[in-house]
Amino acid sequence: MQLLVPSIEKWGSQCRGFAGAAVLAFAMAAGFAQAPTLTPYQIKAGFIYNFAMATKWLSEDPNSTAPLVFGILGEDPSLGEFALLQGAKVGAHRNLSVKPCKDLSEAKECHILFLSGSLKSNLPTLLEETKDLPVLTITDADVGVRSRGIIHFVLEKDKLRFEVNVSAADRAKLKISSQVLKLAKLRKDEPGGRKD
Amino acid sequence: MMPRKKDIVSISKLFVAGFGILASTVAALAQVSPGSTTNPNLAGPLASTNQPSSRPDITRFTMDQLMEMKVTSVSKKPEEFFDAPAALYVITSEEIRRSGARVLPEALRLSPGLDVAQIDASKWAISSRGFNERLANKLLVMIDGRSVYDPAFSGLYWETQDLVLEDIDRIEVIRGPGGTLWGANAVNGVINITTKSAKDTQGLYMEAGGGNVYQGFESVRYGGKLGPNAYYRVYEKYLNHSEFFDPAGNAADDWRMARGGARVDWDISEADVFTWQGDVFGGEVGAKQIMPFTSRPYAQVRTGDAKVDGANLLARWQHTFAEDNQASLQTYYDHFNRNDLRYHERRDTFDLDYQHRFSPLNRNEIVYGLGYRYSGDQIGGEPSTFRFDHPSRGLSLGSAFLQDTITIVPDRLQLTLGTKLEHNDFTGFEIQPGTRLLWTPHERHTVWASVARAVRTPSRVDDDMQAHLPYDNPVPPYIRNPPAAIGIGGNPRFESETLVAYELGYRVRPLDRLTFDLALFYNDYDKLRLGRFDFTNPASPPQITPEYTFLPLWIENLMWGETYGGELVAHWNPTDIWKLIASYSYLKVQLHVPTVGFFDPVSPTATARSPRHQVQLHSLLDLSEKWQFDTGAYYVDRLPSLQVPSYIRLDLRISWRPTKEWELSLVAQNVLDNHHPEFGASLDNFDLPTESRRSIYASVSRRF
Repeated sequence: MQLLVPSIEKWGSQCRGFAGAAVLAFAMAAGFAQAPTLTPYQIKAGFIYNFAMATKWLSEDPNSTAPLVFGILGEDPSLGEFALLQGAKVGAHRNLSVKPCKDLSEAKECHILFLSGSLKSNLPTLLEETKDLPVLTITDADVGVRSRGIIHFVLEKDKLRFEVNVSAADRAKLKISSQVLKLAKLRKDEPGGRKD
Repeated sequence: MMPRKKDIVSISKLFVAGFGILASTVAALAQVSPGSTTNPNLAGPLASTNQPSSRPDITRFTMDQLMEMKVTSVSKKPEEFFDAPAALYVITSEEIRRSGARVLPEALRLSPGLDVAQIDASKWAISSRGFNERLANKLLVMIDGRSVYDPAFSGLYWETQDLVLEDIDRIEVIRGPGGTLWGANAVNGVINITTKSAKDTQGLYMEAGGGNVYQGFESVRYGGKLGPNAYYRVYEKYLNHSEFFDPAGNAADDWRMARGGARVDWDISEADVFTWQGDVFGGEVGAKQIMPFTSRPYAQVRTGDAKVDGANLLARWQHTFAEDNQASLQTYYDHFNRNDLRYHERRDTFDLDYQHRFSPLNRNEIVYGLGYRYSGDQIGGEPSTFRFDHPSRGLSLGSAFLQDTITIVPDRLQLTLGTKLEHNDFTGFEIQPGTRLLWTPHERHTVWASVARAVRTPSRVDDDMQAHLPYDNPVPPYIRNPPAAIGIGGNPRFESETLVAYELGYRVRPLDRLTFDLALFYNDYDKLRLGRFDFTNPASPPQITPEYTFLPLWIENLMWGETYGGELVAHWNPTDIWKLIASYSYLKVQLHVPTVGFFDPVSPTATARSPRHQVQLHSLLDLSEKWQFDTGAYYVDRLPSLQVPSYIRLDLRISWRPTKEWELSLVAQNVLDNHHPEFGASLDNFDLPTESRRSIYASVSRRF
């Protein structure tokens, strides 16, 4: 009856969008004031902000002041948390622009692209399509190596960790600073997991 | 021991906290703004979270700080199961660990609306929505897709399902019928126990401890890799449980159980996942029983150990053809042996199950399945007082089901239609249709309704058992003078008991961290088992000795009835370090017997074998990174027909994690009472009940 277990999960899968806001004030009113804790996607947003600052797009003019575009592909209400990064400063004259992408052609224009787990079986194809472009792909779905971007979030116990596929980063002409790499688990397989 | 008065103060504090939940809800309900919608397009969620009030500045965190942040899935469970069109409760592995439960049936106390009563140290009566008894025949229990329901005695031996609780991923408890998917005997509820994948149990885990009731326990598990995508684990567990309290002295219900097993999970490719798992167990289960005799003194109390052992092996292959198109093929073999004081049972079960889920049309999701099960047994007892017409019997069960979930209005309205068709050797074809409607008017509100039919198919007890029970059981001197005995005769024409259940549910999340779940039900039962005394029937069970006044009792489908009630569950996480779960359940049972004839006086008293009111309050509090303090309080109403008074049970747990690897915990259960009974003697249970004792134990665990 194993298939039924996912079916029960499915009953609730559309309903993940409640992460958010009003709780804090209530908790404080109840006398349990404490430092704000972040939701999983807020923590990911924090990481992505750090990745944005620690990455150099070698194919691009280093002094560009055009916004650094952070694209999001997929349909998951939690992705809304990434809106917190809109306008965040990533350099002296450069801001982050968060952009929900409608399709692949929009996604290809981004500097950073988050591909949500909701894309499911499309993930490998989408990653294949972007592997030669200067796009820092980021994923978090636990569905196999072919579905992992250049940076891939993994949950270990209750802490967030990430893998960096260094070969894929090289191919995309991205230089990720050693500060980030030393915290990452490094992978070397080809982007999309396929050999040319 | 703490003085009792102090405990009552602490309980009253807990209940004050409970009232706090209710009060805050009233305030919170006022804040719910109707009309906002979940937008499936991308711009929607991005736009909707731009609430300026508590927008954290996530750019100020360094990588190191982010690496140290805990990803707490705040009220993850109610979120995931918020949209289930059924009365569903999920016990998480964290709740199990923090409850202090050491054995599986004790962990089930965490489920609201479930009626968990301990009969003696090793035996439990567990049911949902009424009809509780040791072998509760209207509750289906599956462990990793393997049915542990015994078709001879229709129920299950909880003491032999002694899983390593650490390895349980979650327990899904569905109150109400599940026959449409799970088949026969899922009448009043289904319990689905899922253990963790081998991938999630890597490394070494060791645990040991002991106390006055759980005298000694230990388990060791090791998980490793067989290849790049293949994981395994092996484990063993041992438990030595002491006696409970017996007012007459000499409870003799202590027990010991040993268990071991292995599991392999192999992701062969992106599309294929294989799972193999198997367990072996063996143990001795102490019992005290009244043994009837055909000669003077007709009955006597005997103590001794039931010897139990068993093994199972399961293989499952899941294949993903495409998104929303998955199939699974599963097969298992299960064997057990039970040498009880009065009878022995050996059973071998083989099961094959295929399921396929796909979406052939837009807005339709179809699941269908085919199954076959063969269960062969050898059962017998002392021939003069307990026997089956067939000492050995093989039962076949064929089944098919089809269910379609139709999205009528995307994200708003969903209709599920389905039916199960089964063929069993006792009653032939059984059909169990069901329909469920799910309406989500708002992302914070869910309404569901369900009408379903379910059946409890005959067991060998109903069909071909012949048993003699002393009539005055269990009051000393056990036998009237002149002696009388009831001879229970199975009935080959016994039909399935039927249920048509009407359910209505409502879930609301007035705040992100506060969820209410209300389920109401009306159950209409027919053809329930009732014994009829027939002194004229020549085919009555044979009279054994002329000294007996012999009362032949035939098992027939003569009773009908209704139950109604509901369960209300509240989840509240006031902060990330504190979680509160409160629940209330109400149950009313009305059973009817024919006006003409002489009937078994015991069966209709099932109305009063399940508590009418139950209240639970659980508090899970992280005192610091290293300390946890957890409390569980339970009020269980009296059971009039078993002369069991109401009781309040209070469990406390404190744990200390000096490092990431080590955990020490101290658990006190039943702290308010030296001892109290939770269940009584009933006809279906030969064992004499004893009383739950206050239990204290310490445990230490280490993971590498």
